[in-house]
Amino acid sequence: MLSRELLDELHKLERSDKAKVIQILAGELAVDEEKYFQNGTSYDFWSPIDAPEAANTLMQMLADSRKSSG
Amino acid sequence: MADRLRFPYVAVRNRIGEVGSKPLLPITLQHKGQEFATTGLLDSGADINVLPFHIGLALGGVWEEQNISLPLSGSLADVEARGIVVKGTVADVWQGELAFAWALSRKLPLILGQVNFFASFDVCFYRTMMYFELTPKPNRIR
Repeated sequence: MLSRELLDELHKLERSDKAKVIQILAGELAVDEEKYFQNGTSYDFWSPIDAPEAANTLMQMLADSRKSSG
Repeated sequence: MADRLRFPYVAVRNRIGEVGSKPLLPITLQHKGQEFATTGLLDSGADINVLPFHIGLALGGVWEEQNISLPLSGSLADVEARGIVVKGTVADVWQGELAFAWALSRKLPLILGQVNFFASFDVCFYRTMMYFELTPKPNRIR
């Protein structure tokens, strides 16, 4: 569980140390990803490379959201 | 000038058992008081961001309440998707709104595409050196 004390300590770190923390945690996430992707199992990776209508709709939703939040 | 954020490529195993490297960005999403830390695939060829179904649920999303349907195409043509806007945080340096196609599928990864992730960051890929860098748009810096 992420505590307020830990967050406060992280905020106090020097910029270079913050970058190191990011790298360490990203490395740990890499291990987690390897657990997620099991050897011998097929995973589909799809990419929405041709979705102009959806893109326009999402841009309108963002504009509406920004308008309503002032 | 905005700070550049550097992240390493992440080793993942593909479906034939080989380990490859992907630009997976650690990102935290917030919506309706819920928070979900995950990684998103930087896909500059994707027109839009895509949110897997289970992450939308973890963020407190209610499928029936998201009433804007999004037409997808190609290999995603059979996947139903609805629009949702959530907050995203990257490395505790950037926070902003991200619009996703919330897909009714658990098989998809979280995809960060042109609308609107790549509209929020300049991204440089240094694949031979196994890292990538993000530069947030200036008006999105906290």
